[in-house]
Amino acid sequence: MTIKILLVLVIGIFSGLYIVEPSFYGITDTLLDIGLSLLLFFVGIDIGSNKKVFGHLKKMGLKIILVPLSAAIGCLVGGIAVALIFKMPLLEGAAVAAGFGWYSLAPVLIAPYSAELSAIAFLTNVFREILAIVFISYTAKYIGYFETVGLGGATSMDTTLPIITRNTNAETAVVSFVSGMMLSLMVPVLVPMIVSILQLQM
Amino acid sequence: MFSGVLIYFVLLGIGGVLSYKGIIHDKLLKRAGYMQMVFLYMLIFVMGLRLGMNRQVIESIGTIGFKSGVFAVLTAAGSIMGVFVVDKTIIKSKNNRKNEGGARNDN
Repeated sequence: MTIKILLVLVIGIFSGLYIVEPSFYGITDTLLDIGLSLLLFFVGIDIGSNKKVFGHLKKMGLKIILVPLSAAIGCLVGGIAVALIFKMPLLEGAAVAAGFGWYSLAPVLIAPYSAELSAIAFLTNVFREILAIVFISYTAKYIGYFETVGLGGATSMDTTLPIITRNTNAETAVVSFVSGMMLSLMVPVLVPMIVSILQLQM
Repeated sequence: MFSGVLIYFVLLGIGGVLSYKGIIHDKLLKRAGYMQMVFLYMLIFVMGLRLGMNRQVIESIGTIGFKSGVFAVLTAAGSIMGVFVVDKTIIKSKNNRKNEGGARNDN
């Protein structure tokens, strides 16, 4: 799937470079809005149809929330550390990190601030998913089950969920879905908030 | 920007409530995953288009690639460490390691 996504991305980039007229750029804004709205509508349908998950969530109690929260904080600290390394504004590092692996949404939200940072966010989140796919089994074996959920980030509710389930247990699978869902819900709140602050500083 | 995010949230909520209440037809429910993929690929293609049309990004792809790699490694490592610390100090989960049992598969 990741290969297909990378292929579609490359085709898009080459089309943008050599085929599509620059005047088309304005229309891509509308296309992104429509695509994202419909994508989120279908994500909502998916979440709402998983009634059993909410039952498991009640049994585990509030502790389950600590997994996505700690994953989010760790991720943001990591992003800020990278910003320090590359001498970027710290909030730019936080904005990239706050995508939590959701490569289709975070770059779109960052795009109004900076095309370059949007591209970094996109590649970062694509790389992060590849890292998760490769390292989930090792994380489960040598570090712990819940840590695989942290590695998956927002994708632990969809693309990396089958890999996490295969390498851990049923309890972790439920935690994975809930954590991915919570991180996914944080992305459209956190990223625009950080971008708004960055835009005020411009 | 915030109004756009509000629309996304409302649509997410409408989809969730309709599905939870059983209003969504089974056929559409089964196709929800497929439809997500269709729009995901469309979004990725459009984003690729925008990247390709933006010469500034294309010219600096070398720097972006390296930075993105560092971002990916450190944000993923940060998330793992965050969960590790909370798991060992607060959650203290049992059966949270492959060699302690409970794993479904050895792959």
